[in-house]
Amino acid sequence: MIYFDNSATTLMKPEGVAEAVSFAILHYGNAGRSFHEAMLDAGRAVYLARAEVAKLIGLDNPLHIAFTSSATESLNLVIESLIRKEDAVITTVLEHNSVLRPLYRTGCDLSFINCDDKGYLDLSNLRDLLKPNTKCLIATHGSNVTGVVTDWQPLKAFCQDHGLIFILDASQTMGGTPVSPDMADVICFTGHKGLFGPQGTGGIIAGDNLGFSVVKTGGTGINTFDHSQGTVMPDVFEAGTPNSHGLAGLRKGVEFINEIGIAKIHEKEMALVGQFCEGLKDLPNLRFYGDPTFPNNLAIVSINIAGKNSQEVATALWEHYEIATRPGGHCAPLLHQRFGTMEQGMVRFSFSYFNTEEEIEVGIQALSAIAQEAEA
Amino acid sequence: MKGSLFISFFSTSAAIRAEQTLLSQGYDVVVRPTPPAIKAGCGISLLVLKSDWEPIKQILDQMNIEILVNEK
Repeated sequence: MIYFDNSATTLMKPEGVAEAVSFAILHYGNAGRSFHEAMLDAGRAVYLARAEVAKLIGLDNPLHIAFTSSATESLNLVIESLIRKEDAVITTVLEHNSVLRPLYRTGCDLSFINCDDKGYLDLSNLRDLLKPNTKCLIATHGSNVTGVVTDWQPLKAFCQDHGLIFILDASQTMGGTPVSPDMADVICFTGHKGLFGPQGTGGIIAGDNLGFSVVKTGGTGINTFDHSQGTVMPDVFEAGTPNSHGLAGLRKGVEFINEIGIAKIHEKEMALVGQFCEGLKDLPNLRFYGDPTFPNNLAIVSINIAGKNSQEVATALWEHYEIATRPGGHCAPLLHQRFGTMEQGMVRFSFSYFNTEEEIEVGIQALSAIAQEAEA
Repeated sequence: MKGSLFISFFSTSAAIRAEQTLLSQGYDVVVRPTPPAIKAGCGISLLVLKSDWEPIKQILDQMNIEILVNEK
């Protein structure tokens, strides 16, 4: 198999990730629930994962990272914790359903920043979206469909000027492009994509001054006889047994990134994107979406071949070439509406540091053959 | 540990962070259950040498970790 679905989950993990999970399953107790060695090892594994992620993003206090099961859980927790029906929220048409559906569920008043034909946010009417009760601005840091990376600086400045909480969804960007705690008040991430960790890991990066309310509560190993749990990071989001097994693997994935360096990872991934796009650029019936070769963007290339349904193209890629891609709507309904691809979808190729030039070449040949067949 | 202090915490995450930081800086640290008389909330405490207390206090202050301190 040639795996080009890394924006969904990175399949090829660095050495040591699977071994760390396996070791943890066999040796770790329940973090934070007693004082024996098995418990302490689990607690230390969770802490060391926090410290490794903190190192990656240049965060001084690792306890400003709360671990969750996924970016989806992170976004649900943050949105439910901060946003009420009477609030207004500004978000974007680039968002994944992990942002949109929790927002819809709150019943809050939503406004959307649109994007241009390449998928870049159009901030020309941002001020018009502001209402007296606007509380937050939530934006993706990188589109899971086009790979376009959001210019966070004007959004942050706008939020600071108007007293809004700025929440960034870094599901696609953590590990593949620089993310720093200074970018936003809250950053949500997942562990199983660019961070090379196992599924079931994710997190929330935030300080203690945002007034989070507790929305998930239960055993924390502290203040057992209190009716409510604390509201400081990371405890405010961490009720229940932490996934020390998965986090042991996440630590190894992030350690790899810290050793190699994000710049080198991004450079290699974008070289693969360049090779792929160059090899396909002369196909007359192939359409690229977004701005895939722009160096700051992510290693995502979404395409369509004439009017062919994306499911058909992805099926041909899989059945004839064993190339794994992602067709359809990518859980990003508003972006597909914007591009008029609700019916057709798009075929998304997403590359990783572990893909090779040889695999890209096979991808080019496969798509060329499918495109020529469609032309005939 | 002779001549020790119990340092107790209000969250387990903070206790483990303190343990890892102090160990990495070469201090003798042993994890023990928090004695019932100490109302710190977190079930684990760190046992450290009384003679190390001043530098340890500085480190914990810098990390902004809230603690309770008791003689063993």
